[in-house]
Amino acid sequence: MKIWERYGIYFLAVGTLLIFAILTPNIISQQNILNLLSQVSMVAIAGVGMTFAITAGGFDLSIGSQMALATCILGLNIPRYGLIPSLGILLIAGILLGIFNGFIITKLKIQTFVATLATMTIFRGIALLYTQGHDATIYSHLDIKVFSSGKLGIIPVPVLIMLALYIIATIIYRRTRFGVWVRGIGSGEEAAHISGISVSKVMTGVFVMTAVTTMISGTILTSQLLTGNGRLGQGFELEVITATILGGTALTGGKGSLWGTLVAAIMLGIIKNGLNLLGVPDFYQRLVTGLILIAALSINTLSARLAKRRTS
Amino acid sequence: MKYAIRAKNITKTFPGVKALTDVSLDIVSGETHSIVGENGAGKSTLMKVLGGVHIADSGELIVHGETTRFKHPVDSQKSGISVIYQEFNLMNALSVSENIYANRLPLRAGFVDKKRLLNDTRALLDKLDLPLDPEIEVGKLSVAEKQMTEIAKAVSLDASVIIMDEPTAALNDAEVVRLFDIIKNLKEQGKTILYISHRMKEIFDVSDRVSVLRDGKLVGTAPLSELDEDAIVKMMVGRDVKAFYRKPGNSIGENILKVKNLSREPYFRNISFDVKAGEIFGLGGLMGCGREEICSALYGLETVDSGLVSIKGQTINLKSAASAMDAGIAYVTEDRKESGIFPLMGVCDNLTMNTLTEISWFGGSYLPPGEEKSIFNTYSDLMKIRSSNPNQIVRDLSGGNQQKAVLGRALARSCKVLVLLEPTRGIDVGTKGEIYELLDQLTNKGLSIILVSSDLPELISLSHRVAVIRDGSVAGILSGEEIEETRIMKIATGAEVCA
Repeated sequence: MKIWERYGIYFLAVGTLLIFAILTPNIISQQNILNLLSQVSMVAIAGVGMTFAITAGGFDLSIGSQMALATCILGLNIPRYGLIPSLGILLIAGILLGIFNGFIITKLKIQTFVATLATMTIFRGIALLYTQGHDATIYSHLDIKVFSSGKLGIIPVPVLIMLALYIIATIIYRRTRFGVWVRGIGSGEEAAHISGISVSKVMTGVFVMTAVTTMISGTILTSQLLTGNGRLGQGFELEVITATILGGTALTGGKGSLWGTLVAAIMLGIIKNGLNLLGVPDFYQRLVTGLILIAALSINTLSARLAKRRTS
Repeated sequence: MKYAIRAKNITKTFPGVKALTDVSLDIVSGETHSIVGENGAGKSTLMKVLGGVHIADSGELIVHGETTRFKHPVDSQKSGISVIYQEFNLMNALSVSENIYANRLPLRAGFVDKKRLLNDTRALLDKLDLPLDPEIEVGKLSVAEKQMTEIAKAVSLDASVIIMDEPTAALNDAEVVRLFDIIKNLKEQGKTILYISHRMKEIFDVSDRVSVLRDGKLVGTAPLSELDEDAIVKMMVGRDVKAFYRKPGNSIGENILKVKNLSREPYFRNISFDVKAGEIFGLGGLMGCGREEICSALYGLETVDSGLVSIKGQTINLKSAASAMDAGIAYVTEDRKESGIFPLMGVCDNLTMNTLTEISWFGGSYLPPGEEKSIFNTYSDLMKIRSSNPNQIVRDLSGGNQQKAVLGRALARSCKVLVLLEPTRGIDVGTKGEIYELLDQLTNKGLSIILVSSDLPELISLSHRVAVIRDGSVAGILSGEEIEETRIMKIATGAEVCA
């Protein structure tokens, strides 16, 4: 059963792809695959940060609101300062959002779930205030388009960004002190504290990661829509959390699976895309996604029960 | 004389409790110093003050000649003190080497230098002669191996004082021997060791000197050579304790519980025995022989494959714990912390938990406060539970008082048979005596008790009869004079086969 725990999501993803390839062969056309990967890039990129957060034993519910704020920041600043300075502002904003979350969690000692539930509302409020609830359109500033429709060879830029981030994140996860500490804190915060690890700093670092990766996803979204709006990104956090958990990152902390998150995000994309191609209404997609989540998480319980029945 | 630690007039108060009063203790460099005392005597608090987890209200701490004030566990570590807590402070998802060097992972070009990390760890483990794989995840280790990891970590932090909190509590005999070898090795390397334990034999095996705490005060410190077991026990409890070996009373009545051909593969099969009113019926056997499983089956926690259980001739249904309770069976778990107490609920709530439907009106819709109160009063008097008020949360009580709360909860619901597992595990001598007295009272009133205890002398001295379980079957039933240690072990190991 260990194999399932570790690679289950890969089997599931391949199985899903096969089923849809039979039902609607269009899904495996080169064009569609590249499109699909571009579509999942936002969830997958924010999934990098979320994988670190859940591995550290935390949660970040505020990223949907952070994404909305990201679109607003770009939508309002690009007309004034141009693209590059606006991206700089966005980066600083991301870091500040992460530090703010980190401060509430580590200094005010509020559980991540509750803390980010609060900041989810706060950030949404800031985004709406910032744009006064209106659209901040940048239809005439097409240079930002590179983040959604730009290509290197045949590969879309968002897919490249996504892959690059996963490679960097894997190195951070496996080969740096920060990575070891994140896993350590996730498996025992008190133990980590007593081992001399600065839990506050590492936790804050983790929330800066979720915020910054979300800013990148927000940039891609802005580039697609050429609009900033404080109502965007609702439910985005749940999509990202779903991909992370499906990918095999343990909710108990300590064990993350970055590539699992990526594959799970792609699989969810395949389901969405496949059902679209088949003409199945959106309502069913939600239903299917939920059922798959339950199936994936219950397989451990079910297989344990089966094994027990066999021995007795 | 060179002192590793000098604690002077340490006082520490928690809301409602004075945990340490004016404790002054000198630990000589290089000695192995045992600290003994009942649960709640202040050992853990003293240790946590030394470990920087608690800050003393007043008093002075001199470590290696320097007056210090620990605000944080890391401060204590920095001055060379390492505490190995019972529950350990390890990160399960990390490897042995990552745990040992957690806050100073060697770097190369900004990345963790795995090669050096492994080499350093191997060198350290070799030096201490610890058979551990540095790359294995700590979550996969046994308790003994986790302890070794903690010891290696302490040594790697260059600790000169290593404090061990009941290190043998979860170890088997072979592992205890191994631990003592490690302690010897540490001693040869000049480490000072503070050893906290309940087990008299170990104290005599390892210590140079012994300090006894009672009710948060230091009763005395003496070299081991000047002490014997009785003297230490007397210091601990401040009064003479009823002898450990005692004879059970003789007021046994008619058959109450009848168990016939109970089977649950692969754990046990064809288990049959009777228990009489007022009788303590012990279940003996080696670890994994199936006696815990028999007990949980009797309480309906696991469904059996076949067999019958009857109380006073009436066959009872064991499909759930609730139905077992209805039939008059009470149960006290062996794992107080995990499955016994409701740690965050008050003493009163803990005591009434099994009885709520009985004491409430209209089938559970209203709980009259008076009824709860009266159960609390009855059982905290009967069991002598020491709590500051009915709502004090059970987590904050000492182990002995927690055990009494668990036992009281089981008894509050009227019952004819009590399934009692490990009634005195991890509790102090004084409370042990109180629990033994309570069991006497209960059997005098005609309660039947099925007892499981891994403390063999306890099992022997409490039981009227002992069924020895081997590989899931009753290998023999001993009674009266037949019940003795070697005989039980012989049957349990299969050296003697009963007809």
